[in-house]
Amino acid sequence: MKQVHDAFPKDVVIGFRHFPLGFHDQAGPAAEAAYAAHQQGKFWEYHDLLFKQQKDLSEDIYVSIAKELQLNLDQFNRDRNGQAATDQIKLDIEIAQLVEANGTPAFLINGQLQFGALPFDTIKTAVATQIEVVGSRMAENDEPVHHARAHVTGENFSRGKLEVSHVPLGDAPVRGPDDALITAVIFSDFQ
Amino acid sequence: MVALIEGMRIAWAILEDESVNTRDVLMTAGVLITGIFVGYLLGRNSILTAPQATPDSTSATTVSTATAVPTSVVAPVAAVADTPTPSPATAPSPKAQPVPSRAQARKVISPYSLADIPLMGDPSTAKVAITVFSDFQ
Repeated sequence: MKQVHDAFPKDVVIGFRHFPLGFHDQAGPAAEAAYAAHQQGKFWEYHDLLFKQQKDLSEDIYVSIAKELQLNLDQFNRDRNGQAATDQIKLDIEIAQLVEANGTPAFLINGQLQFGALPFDTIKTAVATQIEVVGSRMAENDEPVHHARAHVTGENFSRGKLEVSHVPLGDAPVRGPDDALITAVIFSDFQ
Repeated sequence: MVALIEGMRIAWAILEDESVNTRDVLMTAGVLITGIFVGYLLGRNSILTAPQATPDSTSATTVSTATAVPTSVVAPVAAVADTPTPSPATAPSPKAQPVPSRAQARKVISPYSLADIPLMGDPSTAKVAITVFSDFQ
């Protein structure tokens, strides 16, 4: 991931969601430890060191990495055993299931799902394509980057997941700006 | 109370009136008894002193909260507040049902949200957002 980011430092943001698989017995505790490292601003460093020792994951490893990164151990232990860690990891798993990421690793690239340990060139090509699509949209619609990215991501995600229908509004009462990113159509009666 | 006062007025008139007779005495006694009885009834049913008023309002509270409709949330609070017998410290608290509020509502999940997760890069300038789903094993 660092390689991808270094290739497009201004144009790519990478987020990490925990997806501990049930048959990996240390995946849960490792995710909690990484969550705790994130609370002290050292997630990616902890992430890299965990992967270096992924064959030997254990309680001793989690603590020794925390010491190596000079984390506050009391806070580290409190955070990884806290409810907030459980809640965040649970949310991450729900999102992974929502996007149907059925294995690890999985990548959602502007809403497009890709599975497996992909070669760098594959990810690089996908990223370059998306940079071009979002850049075109920004130029055509004079949109700020985060609007254009959100729009393209939504379209990519919907294309893969949903059949998009056009619902004509006609003269229906409308509330909100004409150029809103999302249109919600309410079908209702009053009883 | 009015009847009682009326009775007293008549009794006073009797004392002053030399033309008093048996019929007047009987009427006065009847009015006095009626006045006392009516006064007793009014006092017995008063919401200020009736001990049975509290259980009645409490049971009404239970019923109204059990329906758990949003508009009924105010009703039990008002019912308890209108019952002055127990002090605020000892008053039975309304059995309020958890009412969904916006603050308690479940967080809406966006599959490509970057909020609250570890990030590498600047989301304000990036044209591409990659979310990695992974464990460490």
